[in-house]
This record gives sequence, structure tokens and C-alpha cells, in this order.
Amino acid sequence: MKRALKSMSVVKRLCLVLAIILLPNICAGCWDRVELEQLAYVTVVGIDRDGPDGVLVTFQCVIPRMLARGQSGGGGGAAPVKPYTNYSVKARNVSDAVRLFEIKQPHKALFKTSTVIIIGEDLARKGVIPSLDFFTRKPALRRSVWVMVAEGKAADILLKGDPSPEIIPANNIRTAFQRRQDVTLTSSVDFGQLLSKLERPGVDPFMPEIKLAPKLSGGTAGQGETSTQDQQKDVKEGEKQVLEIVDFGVLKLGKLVSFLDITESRGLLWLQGKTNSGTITVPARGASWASLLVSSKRVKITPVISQDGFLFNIDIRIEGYVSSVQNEAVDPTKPEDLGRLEEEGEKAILQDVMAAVKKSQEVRSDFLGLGEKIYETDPDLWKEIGEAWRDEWLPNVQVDISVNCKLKRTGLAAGPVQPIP
Amino acid sequence: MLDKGRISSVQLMLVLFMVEMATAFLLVPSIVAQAAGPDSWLSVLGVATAYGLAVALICVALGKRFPFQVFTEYLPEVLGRVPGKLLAAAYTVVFIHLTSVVVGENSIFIHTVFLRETPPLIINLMMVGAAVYGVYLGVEVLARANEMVFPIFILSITILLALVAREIDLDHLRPVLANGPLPVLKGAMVPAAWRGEVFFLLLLYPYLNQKNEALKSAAGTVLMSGVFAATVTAVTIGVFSDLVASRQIYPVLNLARYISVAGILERLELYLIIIWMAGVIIKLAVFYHSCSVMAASTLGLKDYRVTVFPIALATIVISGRLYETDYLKLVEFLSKFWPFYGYTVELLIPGLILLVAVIRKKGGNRVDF
Repeated sequence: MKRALKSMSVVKRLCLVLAIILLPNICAGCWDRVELEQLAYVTVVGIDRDGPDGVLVTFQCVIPRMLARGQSGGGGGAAPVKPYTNYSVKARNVSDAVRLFEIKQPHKALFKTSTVIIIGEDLARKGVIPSLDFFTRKPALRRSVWVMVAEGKAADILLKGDPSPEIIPANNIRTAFQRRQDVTLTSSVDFGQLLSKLERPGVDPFMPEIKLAPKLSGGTAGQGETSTQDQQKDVKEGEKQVLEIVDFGVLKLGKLVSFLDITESRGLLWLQGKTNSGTITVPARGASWASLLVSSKRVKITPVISQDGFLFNIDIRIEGYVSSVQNEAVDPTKPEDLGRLEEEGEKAILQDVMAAVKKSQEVRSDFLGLGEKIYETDPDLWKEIGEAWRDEWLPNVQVDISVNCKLKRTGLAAGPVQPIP
Repeated sequence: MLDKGRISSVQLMLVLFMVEMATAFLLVPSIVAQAAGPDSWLSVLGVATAYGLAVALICVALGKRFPFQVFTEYLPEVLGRVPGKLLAAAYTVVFIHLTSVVVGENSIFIHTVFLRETPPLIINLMMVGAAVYGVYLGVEVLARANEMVFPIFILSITILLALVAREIDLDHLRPVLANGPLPVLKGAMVPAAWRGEVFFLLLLYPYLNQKNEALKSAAGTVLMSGVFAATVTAVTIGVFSDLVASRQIYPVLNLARYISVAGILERLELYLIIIWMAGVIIKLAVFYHSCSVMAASTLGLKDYRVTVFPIALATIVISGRLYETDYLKLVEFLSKFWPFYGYTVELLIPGLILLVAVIRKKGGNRVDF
């Protein structure tokens, strides 16, 4: 090192000394440093309509300090406190609301931690696009954030929703999605998918619906919970309700038009080809039921355009196995019994899909994306009928659905258990 | 020759690829999608590549005539002393402007996405500092540094695209050619100008050690970037659909942010920013090298290095005045003026020079490719 220094020219040595002196100044950080203590970690954003042209935005933020206490708690004797808090802000638009939110409390809003955007029913019926504009521009918010539509007000869901068994509602929603996709009840829709569908000819987006449901059992767990931490008017423990995510809300040209029921939602999921090990229960023989655990293999929708109108051939392939038969007379190892179960499964799926198609025609919203298929096969025709598609053509389209259900396994048991006389 | 360096034909190919792709992969998809819709990948793959090949042919033909001189050195020889010097000076000025556009592209991207509070001047100083250091070391060092950056660049983007591949909805790429070929041609205007940056061959040709492989490298780089850019564009539109992609200013960034594999592999946009910076430093270095060589040869200097520093400062000031963090102004230039600007500088003028050289029998007479 000494020799190296000696062989350097004076200028170079001066530069080195200067660099050594200047470098420590950088260690203090620069303009874009972020202090963890000065951030409000927004996990859920709820947007509601407020008056004719205002919004009521609810930010749910975690308090990391409380999070740590809640986990280590118990022994200390301190009452468990909620690790999150809600702030509701009335404003002109979402961007305005963020500013007011940052005035109301000292921290800078951090949207990188957001999991869900919930849109209240009233606002969704008026149109979702204006309030989502802010999120398309915000660099910190990614397009994989989920969007949902609330039955009623989004603020109620954030204020009254009970996060148990998790401690933060956002985690509850995350778990629900990850689990529920597996049992074919709902599927998550992220912000990017919503935007893609909004700006695509002949298809309307759908969003999962979130609502409050009464608690299953009046358990006394968490009785000592106090709500002093909450700056908002918090509800009493007895009013806390369970978050339920089951069905879908469907949009038409960016406006919520209807909520689907559970049959229609499943029909929509079958058509999306996204179901993964969902259970369908079908009549087996006599008064008993059999359950089939199935997942989508392939969905193909081909439009047939003729003089009289449009016909859609929908071909759905399903694969699965028998999860329960409940009747000793039905033996899934016998081909004819298995064949009958497959038929019943096909019938059940067909009914679901029919219900979804009927609903789509009834509310005149093309959430199944039938128009998109026409646009893809015949873009010139679409230019003529596109404007009137939802109101004039969609209610009259014919569908020809064929479902092919293939049962390949019978679980760990072959035949049913038989009592021996 | 102002630079004593030597580069191989493969190095030349990789450098030219990086010169185009370093900024094109991020900025082009959105601009193309605005004009060409679902057919954007066709514009990028077909029309732009054809234009790039034309530029490559002309540049190689010119290079063969003057194998040991850069473009601005033989301009006076071809056109006569005064007009030649004037055109050479014009080229220098144009390329100083183009370099400041690249500086602006960089500071705008980093500012909008990443460092909101840091003054753009600091970002520029750091990037330009790195590039200028490379220029001082010469073209050989640049080519070798690029050999290190190139695989990382390609690999990172390929991995990003592969990870986001499951979000692709092939329906978004249909219908093909719904509005006829016109939108495809229109969409190709901007990527073509980028593809034409193979023009830098004219300023790197003298350093090439195997001159007979110049056309192979140039054509290779045009085809390679065509396939690469078309893949990026197709994936972008496949994931977002064309209208949504055209509304975003950096759709590829959003692509990277979309990745979520099993809840573990997330927030990969950092890789994008790393490769962006690595690529832009190489691109800037090649631009600065060319600018300073042009300036030095126009002024008749012995060493190009004296001009690097003033040019670097000039580009920082120009980009600060013109663009700084003004995305709207930049995109207006890129989508409205840059194509015509590019066609003139890359294809039209070199083509005319070649014509004059052939007519006036200047330079080596071998025009065989």
C-alpha cells in the first residue's frame, strides 16, 4: 500500500484524499431516504361515494409497534390491542383524500404495502374508473393489487369487519383468496386484469364481492379488546362481523350493474377455466348425494356467426375424482356408476354456466366475454355491432354448451364401505 | 484514426445491439401500441427490421469505401472541404442533441419511478460520469465492458418475461391485422428510428479488426434486436391488452411489477432498473465516444479526449433545459419528431453521401458486400 501510494502522482494522491474526505458525507443518506418510523403502512383502501361528487376514502393502516406487541403478548398482562387503525377522509377525489389523510396524521402514506382496494357499492354503480385513475398514476402502487366491490359501504367493511383469526383484515382477505380459489367459490381479480378488461372490446370486468356476515357463533374470544387505539368511532365488540368473500359483482361499461348469486358465480368461474379442485355435490341415486372434486382442464368458446344471429359453442372439459358417495349402492369402481356420476357432474356444471349466461343477458353486461370472441374472429363485423352489442345483440345470442367431465380417481378408497350382514 | 482501439465483429454486434435496446425496450412498446394496437409486434419485427437492414447495408457500403476513417473524417473528401466540414459540424451538433435526449430519458425514468426527491442533475452527473470515464479509456474498453453487460441484460429481461408469461392472454394479440396494414406501418415509425441506430457502425467501423464481417454483425444486430423487441412488445400486449399498454408510460416496468410467483418472487422491478442503468451507461458511452470523435475530427484535433468533457457538460445542460423531468415534452419529441429526424440522419444523408462517393469515385472502389 505504501509503495502504491508513493508511486502515485501528487494529483492522484490529492484526489484519493479528497474522495476519502467526501465519501463519509454520503453515508448519511440522500434525498430519497425513507424513515420507517415516518410511514403510514396502508393495507386496504376503501372508497365510497360521498354526496353527489365527493368520495369518502378509508385508509386502513397497520401499526407495526402494536403488531410486535400482539405477537409477543399474553404474559405481560397488557390488554391486546388492535394492530391497525382506520382513517376516513371526505374529499373531492382519491388524490385529494391522500393529501387530507397526510394532514390528519403525521406520517407519509405508503401504498407499497396495499393488498386490496375496496370500492363501495354506491360508487361502483356510479362508475369505478374515475376513482381508480389515481392508482394508475401512482408509481408505488402495483397492478397486482386486488380490487373488490363491497356490498354496502366499503367504510363499514373496514370499520366493522372482524379480522379474526388473523389480526389484520388485509391478511384475512389475502388468506381468504388463497384458500377460496381452491374450493371454487371466488377468484381474485387484480387491478391490472380489471383495467385490461375495461379497455377491451366486447368484455366487461367482474370483481369479487366482499360483505359482512353475522358471526357464526357468539364466541367470547378477545373480550378484553379495547378500541381506544382507534381514532374513528369504532363499533362495539358485539357488532363485529365476519368478512365474507363469496360472489362477484359485474360491471357494464365501467359501472356496477349487479351482484351474482353463488350459482352464477360458479358458472362464471367454470367459463374462466380457472377452477382448481372445487367440490360439486350431485344427486347420486335415490335420496343420496355424491361429491366430486373437479378442476378445469380446458374451456373453448367458438362463435358461429350466421344470418339469424350469434351462436356460441362452449366446450368445457373438466377432470376430477370422486371425493364422497354416501351410498353403498353406488360403486365408483364400476364403469356404469362412474359414468352416471360424470353425467350428473356435467349436468350440474351446465346448470351453473346456463345461469351465468342468463344473468349476463338479463343485466346486459358481457362479463363472460362473448363479444370479445366476435371481435377476435371478425373485427369488421364488430365495428358495426360493437356499439349496440350489449343492449341489442347479447340478450338474443344462443349458446350451445357441452361439458365433458372425466373422473379419473376415486380417492384413497375404491368401493364404498359395505355393512356385512 | 483518433482511437487506437480494436474491436472484434462480435463485440461490434453486441455494442450496436445495446445502443439500440438499452432504451428501446422500455420506451418503445407504449409508443408503438398507440398506433398499431394488437399488431405492434408486427411493426417492431417486420417493418422496423427492414428499415434497419437498409441502414446497415448503406453504412457497410460506406464503411468499405473508407475503411480507416470515421464518417465525419471523409465527409470533406467526398463533398469538398467547406460543405463537408459544415455537414460534419451539423452531425456533431445533432448527435450532441440526441445524447442529451438519452440523458433526459434516463433522468425522467429514474425520477418518475424511483428517486422522487433526488435532483435530476445528480442522477445525470452520476450516469454521465460513468459513461465519460469509459470514453476516456477508449472504444476497446467500452466493447469489453459491454461484453459483461450484454449477457446480464438479455438474461434479466428473458427471466422477467418468462416469469410473467403465465399472465399472458393470447386473446389480447387477436385479431391480427384488424385494420389492415396501415396501422402497422404507422406503428413502425418510432421503432424504426431506433433500429436505425445501427448507423453507429459508421463511427465504429475503423476500429473493427475483421472488416469483411461488418455486414454480418450489422445485419445480425438488426435481426437480433428485432426478435428481442418484438418479444418484449408481444408479451406486454399479451399481458395488458393493447389499449392499457398504450396508456402506460413504462409498460415493461409494470410487467416486472406484475410478477408474483408463489408469493416469493416479487418486486423484481429493481432488476429492471439495474439493467436499465447498465444499458444506458453503455449507450451513453458509445454516444459520447462518437460525439467527441466527430467533434475532434471536424476540428482537426489530434486527440478526441479533449472534447469529451465539454460535450458531456453540454449534454447535461441541454437535457436539463429541454427535458429534465418533463416526460410529456420528451415523448412528444420521441413520437413526433424523432422518426423524421432519425430517418434523415441515419438513412437519407448517408445514402446521399454514398451516392456522391460512387459518382465522384471517392474512396476504395470495392462496393461488393
